[in-house]
Amino acid sequence: MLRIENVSKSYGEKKAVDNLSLHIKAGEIYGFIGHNGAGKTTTLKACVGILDFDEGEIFIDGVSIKENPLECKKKIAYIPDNPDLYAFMTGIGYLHFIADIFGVSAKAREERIQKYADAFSLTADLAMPVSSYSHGMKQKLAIISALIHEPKLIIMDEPFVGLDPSASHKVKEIMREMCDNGCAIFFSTHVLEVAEKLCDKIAIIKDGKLIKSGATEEVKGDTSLEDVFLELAKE
Amino acid sequence: MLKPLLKKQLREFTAFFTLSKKDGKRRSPLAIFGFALLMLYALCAIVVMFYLIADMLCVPLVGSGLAWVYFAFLGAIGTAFACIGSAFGAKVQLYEAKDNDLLLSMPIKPWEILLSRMLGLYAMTFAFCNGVFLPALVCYFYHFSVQILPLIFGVITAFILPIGALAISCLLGWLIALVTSKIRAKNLFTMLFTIAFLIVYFVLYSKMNEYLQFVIANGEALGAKMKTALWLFYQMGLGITGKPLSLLAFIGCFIAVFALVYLLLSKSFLRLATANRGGFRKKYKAKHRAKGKVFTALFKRETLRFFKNPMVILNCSLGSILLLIIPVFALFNMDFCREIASINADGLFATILALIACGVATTNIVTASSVSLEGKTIWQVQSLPVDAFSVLVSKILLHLCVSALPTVLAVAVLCVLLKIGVWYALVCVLTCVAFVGFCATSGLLINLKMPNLHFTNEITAVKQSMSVLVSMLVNMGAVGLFVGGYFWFGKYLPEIGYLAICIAVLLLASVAIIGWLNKRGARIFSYLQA
Repeated sequence: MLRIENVSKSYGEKKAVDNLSLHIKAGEIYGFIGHNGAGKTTTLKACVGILDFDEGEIFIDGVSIKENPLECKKKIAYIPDNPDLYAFMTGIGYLHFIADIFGVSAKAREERIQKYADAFSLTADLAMPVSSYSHGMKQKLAIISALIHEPKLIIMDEPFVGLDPSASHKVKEIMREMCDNGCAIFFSTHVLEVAEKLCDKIAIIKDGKLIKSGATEEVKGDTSLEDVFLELAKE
Repeated sequence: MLKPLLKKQLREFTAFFTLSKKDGKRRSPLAIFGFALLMLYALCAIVVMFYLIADMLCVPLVGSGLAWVYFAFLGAIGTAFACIGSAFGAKVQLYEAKDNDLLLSMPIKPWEILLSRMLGLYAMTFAFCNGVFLPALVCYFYHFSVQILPLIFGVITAFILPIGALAISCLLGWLIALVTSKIRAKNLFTMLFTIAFLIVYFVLYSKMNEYLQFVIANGEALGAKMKTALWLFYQMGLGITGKPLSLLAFIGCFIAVFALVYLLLSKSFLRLATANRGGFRKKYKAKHRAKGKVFTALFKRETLRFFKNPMVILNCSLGSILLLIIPVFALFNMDFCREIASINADGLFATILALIACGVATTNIVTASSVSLEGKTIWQVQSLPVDAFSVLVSKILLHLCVSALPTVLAVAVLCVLLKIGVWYALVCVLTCVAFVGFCATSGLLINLKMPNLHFTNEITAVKQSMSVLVSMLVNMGAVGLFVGGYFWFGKYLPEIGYLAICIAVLLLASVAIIGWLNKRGARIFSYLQA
């Protein structure tokens, strides 16, 4: 579903991503971990087509993000680390805006808005302007908007930040459900326990370079993911 | 505890000059110097303007023994100027300061916070008040030699006068905070207040000479009325001219007014400063909504963003507001219109009308700030499956709606009132539309080249934006070329031909810019990083 091939990106002298290659298949939850400034967000933004990269290629469902970004974006949902949503819209207005852009039918959007807004206990607040939402509510709204068009690939940057425990649990449930239905999820996180329990595969990035990747069990071996990460970070 | 709070206020004041509003970083010494120079220029412009007014009044009033009327009148004007200029600032400083929650969570008494903020505001009212009063004092001494007692009393007044203005501004700020904490349409209230202020300003400005002549001619009668209606200013006027008791009465009363206002405000300060600004809760009820088209959704997004913030509307479409006022003004001056209509010079009037409308439309800068206004939310349209060019077109369309519609309406009404022939009127309207189209496209190009996506307040993206400044200069330059071209080619071409050439040139320029936006501009927009 997502193929990153030898991607490199530099900011001036600093190489943010260095010859990174990853392959995320349909049905997989792929965790992306690394210290602050390791290049996670840069990679995720490049995958979504909002950040140009210097070298390499990224394919979404076999289509190049550079060659045909619109085709790729139709299949993607992206949730950034800090969901700055349109403060001038109401919650429901925002969801309809996203649904209109993706051409979601009236019936389908009604069903999905009800399903996910109820799941995240956000239904009652949908008529309120986004500017009045807390960080957690914005995060929930961003997640609902990402699910409204049933994407084939979901890319998330720190999706659990700001969520209450029940919303966090619900996100994990929905992630698993989506992947069981053939969706692929690629997300970054600092919560290693979540990554360990939730992810089918994990990639660890350090200073822009991929230092370890594979099935979660393989990556962590007999120890915990935290131990592996700390060990690799030291080297 | 008041001392550290006052120190903080002082630091905030110096930070206004030394820290960039754009990114919060320290300005370079050159930038600080430039900013200070700009402020000084603004201050000098105010001082010079009021000196000229004082100069008109000084000799006739003081010469006829009405020195106290001269000082009382200008003192009252200075106070009114300071009150209007500081009312919204007082509301923001007192009740919406970002550190209110932090300070209230500390062991500081709320009255100390209020007092420190009010004293901080004193600097603002001092600048406004003395922008009027000090030139009046200087003008007085220039014409009637420097005398010790009026000089000392005048300097004392310069410090006391802002205290009264401060009390009234704080009272106005308190009233605004009270009203806006109780109404839903806060933005509408702010916008209506600002438009009302603008209308009052324009009316006063246009009639200033008339009013000043009235004051000069009726100084004595005005003085008689001021003795009762503006008793405090009467005492102030007498005080400066050498009556210490009157001066003491003026000082005592101003300080008493300030103390009263402070007591009133301190009663509700905690409640208003901690009022929930999220305000009214509205519960969502599911409604059926049909699937919309992509471009419609994009245009709706632009429209919502633009019309949500009244200050953005005012700053980006001042020209449209003025263009809508001009036909109303013409309707009230029908005699003048009839006079013009009786002259058989349709071509000349159509050209002048087009020139005026284009000149006013230069202040419409919707597209010039539209990319910047995306701010940190820019990732959303970038990550969605929409063509970046469609997003740019939706911005141009909004500009045309906001600017072209009022322009066409105003020009059409004026053409009818001035009885300009149909063909001339049509070409005049088309010239204006072509010009607005050029402003829209060129503004967008400039904003793509100079975006400011890092701001905490949308107004910063509009007011403190290089793209807006450059865009306005380009628009004015185009109007300049329009005028210059007319003087140059006007003798060789009939007006209708000249306007047709202008339309063609503007359209060609717009088409060329659209071509650039479609290729290069769309790519720049796709990868802008907030």
